[in-house]
Amino acid sequence: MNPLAPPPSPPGPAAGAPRTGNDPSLPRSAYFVGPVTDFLAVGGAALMVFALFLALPRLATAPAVGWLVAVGLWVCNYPHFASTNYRLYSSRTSRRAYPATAWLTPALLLAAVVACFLRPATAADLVLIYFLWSPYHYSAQAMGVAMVYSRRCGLDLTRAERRVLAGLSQVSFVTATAHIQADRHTYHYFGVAYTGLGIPGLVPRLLDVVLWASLLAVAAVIARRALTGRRMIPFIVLLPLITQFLWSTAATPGYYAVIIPFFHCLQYLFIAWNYQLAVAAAAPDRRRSTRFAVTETARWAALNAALGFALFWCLPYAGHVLGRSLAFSTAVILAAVQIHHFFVDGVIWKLRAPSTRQPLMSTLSDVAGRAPRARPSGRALAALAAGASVDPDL
Amino acid sequence: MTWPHLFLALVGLILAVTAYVCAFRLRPGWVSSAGLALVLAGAFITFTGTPTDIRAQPAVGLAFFVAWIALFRLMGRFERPR
Repeated sequence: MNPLAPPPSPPGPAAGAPRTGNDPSLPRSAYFVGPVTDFLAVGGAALMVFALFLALPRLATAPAVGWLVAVGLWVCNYPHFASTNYRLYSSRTSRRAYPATAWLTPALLLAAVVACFLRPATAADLVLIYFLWSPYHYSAQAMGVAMVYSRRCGLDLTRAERRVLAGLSQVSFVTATAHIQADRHTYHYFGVAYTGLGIPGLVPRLLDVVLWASLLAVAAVIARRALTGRRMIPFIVLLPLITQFLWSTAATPGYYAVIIPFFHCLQYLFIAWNYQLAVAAAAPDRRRSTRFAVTETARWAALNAALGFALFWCLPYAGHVLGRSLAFSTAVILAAVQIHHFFVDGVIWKLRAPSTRQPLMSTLSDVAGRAPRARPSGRALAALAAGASVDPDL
Repeated sequence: MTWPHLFLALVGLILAVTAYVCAFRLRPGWVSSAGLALVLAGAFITFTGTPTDIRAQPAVGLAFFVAWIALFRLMGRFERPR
């Protein structure tokens, strides 16, 4: 037994502290790449830009923001949708693991698209469902990323604590959506006009109360851990939820609202990228090296960019050829492609599946064949000074 | 033939073809997936087939709002890895 191994629930090591226990399911670091990169990717960059836009209102409304968003669509947003398809369809293993999702879901959405082209009035309903499902998907992803980091940190969240965190994520999305759907205002998405559901105005006001209650419940969970001496929830676990809460509830400055999808996609791509690297590195006779990590990243990024181009540019044009306007075709195809993404994501990223969970416990250092650059803890340094043997992972 | 019937027939046809193609590998897991697919298709048909004046009622709008969110959650159970 390693004398330096921490107890099962230590009172509060840093989130990025290396794992010194004997549990092989825990990664060597809580971070995929490192504290700064992980922080920026899973929500930190979104928070920083939000603060920047609040501090500099002129920057928040600068035309350059629109240009950056347009570039971001091609390098981040569209590849993010494509990466879901890549994960599901690129290997026979995943197609066989999820056959109904792989084949039944596109069949259903194809039927919906055909219906929209045959009867254009249906397109408004498909687009409305897309706008209802999208924030739900954001909320589910935020909770999913939080749970990935919770596992990586070896955090002992109870079922009740998980429910409280999930509750905040879900209630924030439901409240924001209810406010939008509280009138029958008509919105436009490319060439399709759709009308809100017109739910009673009392509902979002009641949900506002529930939202604050959810926030208090999360505060209570954190306070209870602090008071009982249990390990605090690392910030990296809370970060996706904080970001999601901000996106759902805060009045966004300037053009910030149009940047939110970019950060959501960045968060997803970061996790999917690390998953892909871990899966590719696990192939037989694969030599783990920096060169392998760079090559695999470039291959995966190029394929997703190409597939994103096909899904978001070629398919709408193909629909246009069938006789509807390009704007109409774009609205219908984009809504269908994104609903497919929401659907598939909700199925294939379940952490209870070992085939999903294990690759998400990797680090970039593992994939690149390098030892993690982690600093020894204070206890380890003390043990070194005392002449004790030190776990090689330190 | 009215529009909802036409659409239902189309969805039914696609599901039937898919079921036929997969018939030789049909496992119990497929039953729940096919059932949920039918529920989703049925919800969409109901949603799009509801007359505008009925959908304009706040209570009906709320019912659809709750139903869709419940369905999104339900679709997370569409399939377990085999």
